[in-house]
Amino acid sequence: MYYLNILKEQIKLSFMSVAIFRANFILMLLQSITNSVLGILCVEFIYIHVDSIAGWSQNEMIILYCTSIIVNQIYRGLINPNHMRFIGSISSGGFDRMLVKPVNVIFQINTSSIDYSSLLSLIAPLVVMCLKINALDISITGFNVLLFLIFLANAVIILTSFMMLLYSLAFKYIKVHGLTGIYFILMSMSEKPKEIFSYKEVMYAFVFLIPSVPLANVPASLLLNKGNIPGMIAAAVSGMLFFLLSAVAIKKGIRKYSSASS
Amino acid sequence: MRKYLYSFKLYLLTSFQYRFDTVLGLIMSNISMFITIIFWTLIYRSNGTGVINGYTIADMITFFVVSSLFRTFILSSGGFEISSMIKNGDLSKVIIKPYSINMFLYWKYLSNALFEFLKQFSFLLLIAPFFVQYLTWDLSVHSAILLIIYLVTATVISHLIWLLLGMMAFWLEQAQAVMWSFAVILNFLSGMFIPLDFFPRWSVKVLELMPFAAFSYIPAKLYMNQLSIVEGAYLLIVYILWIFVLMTLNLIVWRAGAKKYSAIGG
Repeated sequence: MYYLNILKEQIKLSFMSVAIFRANFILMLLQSITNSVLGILCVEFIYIHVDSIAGWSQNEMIILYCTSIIVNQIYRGLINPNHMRFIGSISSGGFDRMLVKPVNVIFQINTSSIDYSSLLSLIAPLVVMCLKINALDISITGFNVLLFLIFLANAVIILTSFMMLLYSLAFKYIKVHGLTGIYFILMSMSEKPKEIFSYKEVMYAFVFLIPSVPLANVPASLLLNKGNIPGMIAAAVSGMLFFLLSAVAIKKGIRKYSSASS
Repeated sequence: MRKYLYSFKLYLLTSFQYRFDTVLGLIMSNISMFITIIFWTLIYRSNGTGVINGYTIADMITFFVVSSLFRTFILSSGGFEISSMIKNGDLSKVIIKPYSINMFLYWKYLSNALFEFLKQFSFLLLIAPFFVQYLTWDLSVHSAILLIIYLVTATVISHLIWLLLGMMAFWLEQAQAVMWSFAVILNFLSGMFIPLDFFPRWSVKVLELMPFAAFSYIPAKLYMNQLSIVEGAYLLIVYILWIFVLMTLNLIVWRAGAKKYSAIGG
């Protein structure tokens, strides 16, 4: 209840911030929607010249792409601003304030600000996805949708944990903004079909070392009736693994942390 | 001119100082290119065809490799710098100095672009033995000369476009958000994600006449000898005309903006 109340207050405060910077909010919203639409157009243009890519039809590929955007926008809306604040606070010494608060540090690292423009821009991929599902020949059951939602949540957990694991390096190297590039690479890989990895070993490396496959491929495959149990298990294990690793890395990092301001 | 060349030299030397950042940036940008190449390899493999829309797999790889090289000459940072100067009032200190801010920013970021180009080029030379069989090399002397002229033209056009957008800060509080939105559209229309030939046929001719095509798409086509010298020269004239249009627009916006400027914090 205590943490729910904190979340409620954070949602309220972020909304007040949006009300102040309305122009910025609208522009960022437009940018996110443009980004999604142009990416979808790229896929459409490629399919003018080919019928399928590694067994993925045009509609299926767009669903995969939209799944990747959804995971990306949820992360950008709920987590990314807080991760940026976290790495900034280590170099500025502001992390001290997190340590003295009677709230779990990992909770503080991942929550506080909400970027409503990223969350609202989810509308574009969701609408496109619904249209494409409608245009598919296969029947999608409620169970498919349920699995999709579960593994979508798992994807957000993996992305959050993986980035937190990387950003925990800030405790050692202080300035780690350059690592943000890995996030863009990860998202760029996630929107491509897992078949780009010719060897099974390489594909598993992209599940357990650099987790790009579970981000969009697994949920989209499950929605499209293309999923399999080993893939689901691997994605779930990857989620738990990265969550535990990131929590351990943060705890170890805190032990090393010496305030920058004192 | 000497003062601009001096700043060019100075900023070029500064670029060599941050070696860790340089290496990290180089790895990141090339991983992205590598993923794109693997994706296209998959497209060709899964379709069992050697040619898609006139591009062989070697053409496609060459397109993305040389595009990544040519895109280093897109000068966008000048726009972001002028935008923040206007926003925080630093422009006041600059406009009283005896040089043109436009020219100063051009030379400053040209040195950065040259450094990025050298960095990327050296990296590609280093890994070339591993993928040289996938590259096409069909550059004639005439095309090479035209290509160099194109790259110079691209630096001027991109600088003028971004400066124009940066000057939106005279009127908008959040000009950078506009610039980022524009960056997404510009990347798309300049053929960063897919060659412009893959766009619907009716739009290709129009897009080729737009200034963004000069950034990497047309130079890459020239490099691959997919564009005749006559066509290349014709498009070059169009892009030079674009430079005059953009220069005029820059002048108009600068004059109007200077009247509006209130030096907040200055």
